Amino acid sequence: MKRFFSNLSAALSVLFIIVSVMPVSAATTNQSTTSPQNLSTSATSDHSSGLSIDPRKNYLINPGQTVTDKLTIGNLDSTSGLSMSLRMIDFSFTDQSGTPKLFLAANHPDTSWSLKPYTTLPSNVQVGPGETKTINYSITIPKNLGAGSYYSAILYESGQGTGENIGLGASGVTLVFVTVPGTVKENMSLQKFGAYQSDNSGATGGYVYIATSTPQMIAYSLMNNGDVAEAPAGSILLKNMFGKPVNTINKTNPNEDLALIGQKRLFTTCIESQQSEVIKLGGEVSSANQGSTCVAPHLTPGLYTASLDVFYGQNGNETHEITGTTHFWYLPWWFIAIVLVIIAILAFIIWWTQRKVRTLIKGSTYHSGRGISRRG
Amino acid sequence: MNRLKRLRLSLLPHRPVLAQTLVLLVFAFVLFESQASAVIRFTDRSLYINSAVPGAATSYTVSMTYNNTGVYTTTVGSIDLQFCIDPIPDDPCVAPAGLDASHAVLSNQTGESGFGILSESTSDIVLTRAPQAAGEIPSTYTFSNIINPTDTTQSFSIRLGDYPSTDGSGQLIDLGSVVSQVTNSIEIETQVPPILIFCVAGQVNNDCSQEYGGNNVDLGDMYPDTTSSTTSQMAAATNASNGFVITANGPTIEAGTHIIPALAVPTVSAAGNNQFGINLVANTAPQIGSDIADNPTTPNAYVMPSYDTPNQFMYNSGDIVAEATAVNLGTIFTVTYVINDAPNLTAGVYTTTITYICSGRF
Repeated sequence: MKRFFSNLSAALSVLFIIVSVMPVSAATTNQSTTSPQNLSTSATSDHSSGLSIDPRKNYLINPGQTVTDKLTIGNLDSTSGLSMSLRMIDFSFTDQSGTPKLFLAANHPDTSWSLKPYTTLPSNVQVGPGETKTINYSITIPKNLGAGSYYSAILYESGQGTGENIGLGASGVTLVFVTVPGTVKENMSLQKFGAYQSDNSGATGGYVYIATSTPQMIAYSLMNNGDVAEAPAGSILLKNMFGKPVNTINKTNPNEDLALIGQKRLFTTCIESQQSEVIKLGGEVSSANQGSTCVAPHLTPGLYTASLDVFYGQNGNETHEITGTTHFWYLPWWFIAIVLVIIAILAFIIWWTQRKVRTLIKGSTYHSGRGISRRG
Repeated sequence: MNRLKRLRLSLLPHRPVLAQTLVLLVFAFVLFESQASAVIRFTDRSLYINSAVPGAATSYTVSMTYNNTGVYTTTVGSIDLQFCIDPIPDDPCVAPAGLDASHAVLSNQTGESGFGILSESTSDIVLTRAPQAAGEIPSTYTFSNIINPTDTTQSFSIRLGDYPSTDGSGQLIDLGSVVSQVTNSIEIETQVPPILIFCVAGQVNNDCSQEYGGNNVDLGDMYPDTTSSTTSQMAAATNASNGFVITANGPTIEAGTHIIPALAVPTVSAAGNNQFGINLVANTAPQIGSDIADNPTTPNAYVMPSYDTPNQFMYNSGDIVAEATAVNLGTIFTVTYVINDAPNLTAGVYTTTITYICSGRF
């Protein structure tokens, strides 16, 4: 009996230890403020979390036509394999920028511009360590599908880490845009136009009317009420307060940004930019994708007028033109300070003159033909 | 005495002058938007490219309606068609790469007709006819055998202008541009393909060629009187001109049915409270994390403001945590995770899986 209780005690002790290291869903221990609430296991890394993919695909597909293309998927990890599941998801816009809002839920209803029903895609792919793999996929546009823009995204989901508190997963997305040619409804309107201040190349910022630091960007917001994604192109002419042209910005949409269906899209461009050679992600110099960063333009303080002239239109459809004019002041603090000092000096001179003249008038008599002379 | 008064008025005008000066200054600041100067333009302009394949020989149909309202003459003897990237008539014309209109043939014309090709070069065609009055009717001109541009990354335009002369010289009557873009229906092998690279691990380098620490991180043992924290890293790069965006996705940390709620807004870490949050910046309380390691050649990657305040943490699944606005050659982001637990938190192994999704921008 004594041995039985001894064995039972030992068994319960072992059970307690096992239970204490299991997740709480299986554990029944009472929480203690002095004992740790988590006993972690050792780190593991059984699969790659580094991938390379195509960020964007653009197609022009006629109704009734099927396009088959390749997706290139690279495993950046030279020691572990990359196992990915692939599926189509829809997306929209997040805000005025080009950030997609991904509809990740598997049961999310298809959008009116969805490519999901028309796309055939493998459900998973295995890529060996350090290898690159290409897979075929196809898009079939039905004969009765109307002209316009259709877009969805391919989501590549890699395996996720387990065994620690926080498992990490790396997934990638390819945005797929299809234009179905034909007569489309195109309707964009200018919402706002002006100088734009941003500390992060336009990622965030706002329009300014009076700029105390040199404005580096000009922006315009267009509302797309059509049924096709648009990429306007045109130029902006900047003049100073004397009507003299200061700069012509030939690329009002330097990155060919898109205004999606229903989106109010912000387009930003540098007043003056500096081209920088970008080394391709393989080591060569890329001339196709040059980096462009805004530099402070040589503006003198004063009033500026900017004139916008942009065009948009799909192939075979009417070319639309949007024009607008805006003004902004560039008044740096040093200039404001100088102006205030000048105003103060002028005010002092006026006050001093007034005082002198008043003294002169009060203490003088006017004698005809002899001017003003002091009394007595 | 009257002269003295006049002298005083002329020497002491400061009050009205000051008032006037102030009023003028105020008015100088209050400006009203005006419309762009009016120009006479062709109306209902469009361009149809029969095949939008880059580099293909195809036909172009230019359509427009002559606009006779306010023009100095309705007599048209020539039309100039200039192929440029920029559609604005007064701007310098840069011809689209690969385009060749030097062997174009005017194969069809409707509306105002009777034109023939006077001259043509790689990026310019001049049509001519005997000068005659043009009506405000829709007109089309179809050119075959034009070689498409090869650059699919930007649109191009045809600048239109008509003249009373027969050679495209003299004073312009109407002007206007039509725009279009060639689109590759299949990837062209000769072009540098866009690529997006992305990796997540305990530690990474900026081109994802090295990853350390596996794809999970440990917070160690949790005590109510201390903050548990750890970090992971991710790197992203792209040669796509629109840049990339990274979102964080997944539930808050939990153990079975017991959860530690995520901080919904940026909040200071406070031991003894149930808190889970992340940020992507160097912190001092707790002393952990790193600022963004941007590539000096392409410093255009940013952490979103909600996750960019030192010592403040939050987490909402699906939030954008970082992005780059243009070509980026590789940026490392360090994510700091903090967990605080209240004394009455149920014991267990608290875990979560956070999936970072990196996508291109549009």
